[in-house]
Formats: sequence, C-alpha cells, structure tokens
Amino acid sequence: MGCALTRYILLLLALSGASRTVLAQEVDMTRSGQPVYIESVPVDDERRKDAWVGQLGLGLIMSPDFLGSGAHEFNLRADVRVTYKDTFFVENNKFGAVLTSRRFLRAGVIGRIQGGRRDDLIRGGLSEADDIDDTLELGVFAGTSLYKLFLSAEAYWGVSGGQSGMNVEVEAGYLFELNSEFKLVPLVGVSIGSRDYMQAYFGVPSGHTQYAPYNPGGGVYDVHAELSLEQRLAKNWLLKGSVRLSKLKDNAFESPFAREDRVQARAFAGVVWLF
Amino acid sequence: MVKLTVRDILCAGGLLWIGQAQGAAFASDIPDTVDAPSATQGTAATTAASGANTPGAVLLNVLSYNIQGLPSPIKSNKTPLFERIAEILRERRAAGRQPEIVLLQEAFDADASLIAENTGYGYVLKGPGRKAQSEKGSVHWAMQTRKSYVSFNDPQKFTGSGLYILSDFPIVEAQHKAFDSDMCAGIDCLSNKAILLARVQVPGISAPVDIINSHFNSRSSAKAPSRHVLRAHQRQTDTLAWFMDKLCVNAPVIVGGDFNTRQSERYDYFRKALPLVDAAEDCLTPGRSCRLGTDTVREAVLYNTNDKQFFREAAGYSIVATHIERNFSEKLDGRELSDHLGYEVTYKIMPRASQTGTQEWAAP
Repeated sequence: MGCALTRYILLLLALSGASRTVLAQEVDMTRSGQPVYIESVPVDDERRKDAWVGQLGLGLIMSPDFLGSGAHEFNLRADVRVTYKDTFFVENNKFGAVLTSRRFLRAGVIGRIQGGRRDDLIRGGLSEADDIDDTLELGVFAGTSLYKLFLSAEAYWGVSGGQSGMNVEVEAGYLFELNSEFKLVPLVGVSIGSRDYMQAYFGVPSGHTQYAPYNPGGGVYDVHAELSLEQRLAKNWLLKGSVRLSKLKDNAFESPFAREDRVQARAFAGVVWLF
Repeated sequence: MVKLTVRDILCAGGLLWIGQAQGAAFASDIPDTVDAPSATQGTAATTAASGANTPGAVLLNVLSYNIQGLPSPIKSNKTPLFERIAEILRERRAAGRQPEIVLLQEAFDADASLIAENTGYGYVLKGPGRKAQSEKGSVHWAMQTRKSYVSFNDPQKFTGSGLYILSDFPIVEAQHKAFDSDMCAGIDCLSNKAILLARVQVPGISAPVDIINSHFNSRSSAKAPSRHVLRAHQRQTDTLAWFMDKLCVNAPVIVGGDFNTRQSERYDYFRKALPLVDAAEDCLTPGRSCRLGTDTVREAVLYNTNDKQFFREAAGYSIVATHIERNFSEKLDGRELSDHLGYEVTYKIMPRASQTGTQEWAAP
C-alpha cells in the first residue's frame, strides 16, 4: 500500500510538472539581473501652501510690569504671526528669516524688540533714572523635534537701546492632541543672561540714590513652565490660551528691582483668525 | 524501476485533479459560467471547467504580503526571512506559478529589497521614502509649536512607506500620495505611509491595469487613543477615495494591501467610501466558480484579516476573482516569515465585447 502510494505520488509529481510546464512556457524563467526601477511621482496636492500664512488674534494678557517686577497688569494684546513663503516671519515683537529648513532642523536669524522697564515707573516705585529703553536685539535661532517633543533655542545680542549683553532662551515641550480640534502644549524653559545683560536689567550701579550697588553674575536667571492650548472653533478660527509661570533665580531675584515675588505669571486668552 | 499500470495512472490522475482543485487556479480550470454553490463552498469551492471560455480573458495573479520588515531593533535578524520569501517566489517562478504582481508592505528594512531584486521581477516600483513629500495637515506630527518659525512644515518620518510593487509586466506610469500628517495616529506616524499606484501594461488587455498598494494605520499597535486612530484611518480611506477619483478613471483597478480593516467599524467606512468589490466577497458569492486555497479558510479572506484585495471593473472589462489563497505560512527555524500571511488572488479580466473563446495567463 505504501509502495503504491509512493508510486502515485511520483507519478503525480511527474504529471504535475508536465502540467506546469505548459503554463511555464508563457513565463520568462530566464530573467536575471537587476529589475527596472520605476520612479513614482507625487500626486498634485490640494493642500498647496499659500505664500502668506499667518494668524491675527486679539486677546487679554496678564503680565508683569517688567522683567523682575512683582506687579502685574492686564492689557488688550494683538497676536500677530505672519510668514512669507515659510521663510520670512514676523511674530509679535520678533522678526527674522529661516535660513535652513531640514526634516529635523530649522534655523535662521532672528531679531526682536525687547521691552525695557515700563514707562509708568512710579507704580513700581522706581525713579525715572532707572528706566531702560526698549532694545533692538539680533540673534540666531534653531529648533528641532523628535516625534512630538520639540526643542528650541534662541540667542540674542543687544545692538541698540538699553543693553548690549547676550540673552539665550531654551525651551522644550511636547504636543498633546487630545482630539483633532484640541491641542495642549506644555513646555519648560530657561533664560540665560550674560553679565552685561544681567547688569543692565538687574544690576544697580554704584552711586544709585536709592539702592546699594548690585552686580549680578551671568548665567541662568529664570526658569519657566508654560501650558498653552488651542481649541479650533471653526476652520479658520482658534481659541488660544496660555499660562506661564517664571521663577527668578537668585542672581535676578536678589536684585532690588526684582522684589516682592520670585514667581511671576503671564497669561493670555484670545481668539485668533487663521489665514 | 517503477512499474506503471493503467490503474496507477488513473489514481495519480485523481490525486492531480484533487491537488489542482484545491491549489492554484490554472487557466484550464477557470470556468466562465457560474456554477451552483457546492456544499463545501467557503473552504474549497471546486468546480470543473464548464461552458465556453472568454476570448482574450486574462488571468492575473496578485499577491499582497506584509513582510513585517520592521527596522531594527524592533525586529532583528530579518534577512534570512527575506531570503526565504525570495526563495519561495523564485521556486514558484521556476514552476511557472509566480504571482505576476506582488504588493509588499512593511518593507522598511533595506535588506527587504532583496525580495524585489532576486525574484525575477522585471519591474519594481518602490513607494515613497522617508524624505519623500508628505504634507502637513491641520494637526499632528508636523510640529506646530507656539513659535511658528521653529514649527516644522513637513512631517518628520523615521522610515519610508515600506511599499513595493513588483511586476512581471511593464509599469508604464506610477504615482503616489503620502498621507498628510493628520492622517496618521500614534506610532504609525513614524513611517511615511502612502498610497502607491502602478499602471501596469498587462498583455492581453488593451488598457493598462491600475494596481494600488497601501498600508493603513494600525489599531491597537498604534498606541494612540482609539478615537484618534479611527479618525486617522477614516482620513486615509477618504484619501484613497480621492486618489482613485483623481487617477483611476477608466482602467480596471486592483487594490491590495494591509488596510487594517479587521474592525468592522473601519471596514464598513472603507466599503462605503470606496466603490470597490471585495475580492473575497466576490469569490464567496454563491454561484461563483471561485476557489479558496488548500489551507485557506473563509474568515481568513473575508473579515478576520487586515490584508485585503479589492477590485473595480472598467467600462470595457469585467473582473472576477477565481482563486484566493493565504500563503507564506511556513516557518524558518521556528520563526514565522512574517506576522501576516500572503493574500493572493487570481483575477480573470475579461473584455465585455464577446464571451466566447479561450483564456490565457497574462504572459510577459
């Protein structure tokens, strides 16, 4: 029985092979070597970017009177962010150009108008002599991201106005998308100032009429945490909000100008139109 | 020496008939007329050839196979598995039974290219790579920080699409659409998932046949909230519908891949959005002379699978599925070749003009 089955199988294989030969004659069995690689082209995309992209918003902001101030106030604030061809940008008090945009790195030059101490110094108990003019700062920035984590750094040098020191801001955060219409971005950051920068904002020169001389060193002077959120209201409308808490390090907090409260708060809530 | 008798030949012929009935569909086996469903339909529907053949009808074998070529260290020591897959395809080619079209998914690893290059296929279309264009959607993955100047416009991908289309026949045109950044969820966003179209000039068919390969967002392995994952999957489905509306106008279309549609909610949305015929449903429709492979069960081709094939007829051609098989089930040193099986469908593509004559395998 076993032998017979073997014979059947052998014959089956022979017949099967013959049958396949009939089909195989239509197949190129001799083909060898590299295949021809075909290159596909992307389908025209309907989400073409406009040259001008941006957002205009209006909201209420709460902020300290100036860096290191213990007093806060509320103001109406416009939120203006405009980019041209994904290269040139204006973002509130900042402007600049993206010089390199790779998959994991965006970097370029940046400038900003840094507010000095506010003009209404009486409220802060400061004399007019302690005013610091707005400063034009120029610098560079770089940003990278990994999955939903992001890291950005900006370095500025004062070129005119109240100070000529260097200031670096580093931030890292994570993008939470709780659903397709709601985003939450927590981040942490540090601010680092050069000795000149620190002296301009927190130092007290000798001969000051009210305070003893104070010469802070350079280094980290502020750490902060921020939580921002975006709720899409409609295709072109967003509700935006953010809360930021900053804690001054000793070199800044021990300044006579940074009194009352080591922790400072900023908050913004507004409606934004996207274009 | 083996001594043959008439009885031996008859017995062996019987075995051969059974083998062919349950195995690959051969041209001479495929009937044109629809037989009544047999009692065993759904596991191995078998019919004898009957009726007249169709002039110019072409049999086209299309294999869709997710080879689980995940990058290291997620999956290591993959090359022997790829080599075995290539070897199987070479063996089938030598026997004249190779699928003329192969759709690969998850071919992320560079070594996966050996399947494309060492299996005798004359034409290879590789899907978009990591750096290929994909667009930023309204949310997700293209990092939108609160600072626009450090927000990334292009979604950042760690791997390419992992898609290949291998063909014995000339690919005369090829297009792709990488899913936008808001069309993925979770870990799937790490790869540049896409829709890949090859317009293939199949001998015997006057118009090119559109072959589409894609890999949709996974479900639980995406490690993302289920609502988010479902929405991403639906957007991918919508994009495939848009893609086909835009590109696949008059040609016969075969759509295969890992669509991750095992979940009924996903499958239902997919079917409503896309005017396609499920090859398995077509095959298992009562009255169809279509067979399943030897070890292929009904549910493994119908709904209890993420691998699927669909088709759409064209004005000048009708299409029927004549054989479906889940294959590549062997193990190599105790390891499965992939966490998916191959999903192979034989289609008969027939001109509508006349209904008599002979049928042949598409041949290069």
